[in-house]
Amino acid sequence: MKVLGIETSCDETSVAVVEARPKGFHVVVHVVSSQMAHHSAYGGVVPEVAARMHLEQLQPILDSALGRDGVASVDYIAVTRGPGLITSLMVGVQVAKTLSYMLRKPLVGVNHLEGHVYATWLTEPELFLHAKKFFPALALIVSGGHTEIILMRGHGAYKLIGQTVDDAAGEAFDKVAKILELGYPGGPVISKLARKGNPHAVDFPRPMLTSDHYQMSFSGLKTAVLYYLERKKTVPKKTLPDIAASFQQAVVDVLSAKLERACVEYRPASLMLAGGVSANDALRKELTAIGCRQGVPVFMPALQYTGDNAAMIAAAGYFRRREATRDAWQSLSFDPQLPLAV
Amino acid sequence: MTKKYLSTSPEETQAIAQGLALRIGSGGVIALTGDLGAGKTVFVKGLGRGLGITKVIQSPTFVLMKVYRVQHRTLDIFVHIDCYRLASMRELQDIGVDDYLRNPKALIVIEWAEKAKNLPTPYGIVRVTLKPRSDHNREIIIQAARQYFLDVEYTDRRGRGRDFRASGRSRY
Repeated sequence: MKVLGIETSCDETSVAVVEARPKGFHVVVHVVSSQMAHHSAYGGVVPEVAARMHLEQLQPILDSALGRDGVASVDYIAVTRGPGLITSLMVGVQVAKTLSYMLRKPLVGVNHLEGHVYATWLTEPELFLHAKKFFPALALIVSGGHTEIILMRGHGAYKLIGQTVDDAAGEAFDKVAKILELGYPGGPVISKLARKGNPHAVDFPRPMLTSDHYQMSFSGLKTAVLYYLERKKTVPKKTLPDIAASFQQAVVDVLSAKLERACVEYRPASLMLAGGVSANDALRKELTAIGCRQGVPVFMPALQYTGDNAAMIAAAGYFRRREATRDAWQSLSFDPQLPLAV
Repeated sequence: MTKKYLSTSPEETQAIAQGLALRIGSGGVIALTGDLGAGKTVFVKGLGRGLGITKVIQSPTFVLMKVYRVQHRTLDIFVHIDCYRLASMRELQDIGVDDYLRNPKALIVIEWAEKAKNLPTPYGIVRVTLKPRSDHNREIIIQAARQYFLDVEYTDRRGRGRDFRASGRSRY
């Protein structure tokens, strides 16, 4: 069974065809066209520019990657319907609806965060074949716009365990990178710089680390970095790696402490990492360690599927479809604030 | 009308914002100014509390705008906008802010409001400036047309006055 995935929730235009084979997913076609270069000058995504570029790129990508026959050969269409930037979501949803109507293919709307969780399914045949063995799964979703711990009881069955009460972890990376004048996006630069630094050089606060709930906070951490720099007055270039490493460690400590405590309380059959920040190597290492300590298998997406991409949307759409949700092209809507779980 | 407060903690900042939210007499814009770390997020959380929002108010930096339904005498909708990443005000109009600006029952709070000058709002505008005085102390300056508030004369000096219970009608 072949699923066409379309993802335009932010600044990546992506199209993929993923085939569900007896032994796992096979990614037939996968194209990600990033607009990063067009937005980095603004330190973020410009909505109107993003929408226009999605519009300009989506059709040519579909044509060149799949061709008319390729599009017609899929069994159904999965598209990100939220959360994301309203103008960006609109383009993908409208294109998917049009294809669904023209080709008479069933249409499935996918939650972007759910897509991130299913990114791991793409490269883990074990998960694909024996998913039941790994439910309930405890998923840590970390990206530029989200930081959530989700209990996944089965396909499409999510419960929110905890979330950030202010900034997302990825956003903290972006803002600290801006404070340190490292450019945008902040995640990769800080992570790279941190490899050369001492994570214990500066004792940045770990907000809500020991509190007995699963809420997280990263707004104050960014402020702490700012004040640290202001107190120092001059910051020699050679101390930047130490600051980056210490900041990153604070973020990783909070995320992993919360996840581990949730793991003890909810006793999941597996742990999963998802979202753009899942590319962070310090976080990946820490998650592996938690898995070892708690005796729980840990799943993480392959690096090429950590960012926004359509393959993960197709994979999520595959399971959504099996769970018999079917969104007609007439009624599928986008929602910039679509929640994954409450 | 200008009011000045000195907040010595995030809790106090929230209380001041909560007091402001409870006194809002009609839809309009709260323009929030203050550097990174000045307490804008904390202030918005306080506004949210005053409007009876039970959902967690998260930073809208990534999606630029978040919309909440509210329980309030005069308001229906709370719109939280962050201009931190914006290059110009037009971008706000691109994502549909005009719909809310024209809605008399929508309260729109804008972080980094200095980037959204000349926003075409037909309703009131409240300017809030947050100035860090030390690690914990913040000076909070609230400027607005007097008639924008309900029963403003009952406000006590810390912004958590008896006016919370006032049932007066908007004079706006």
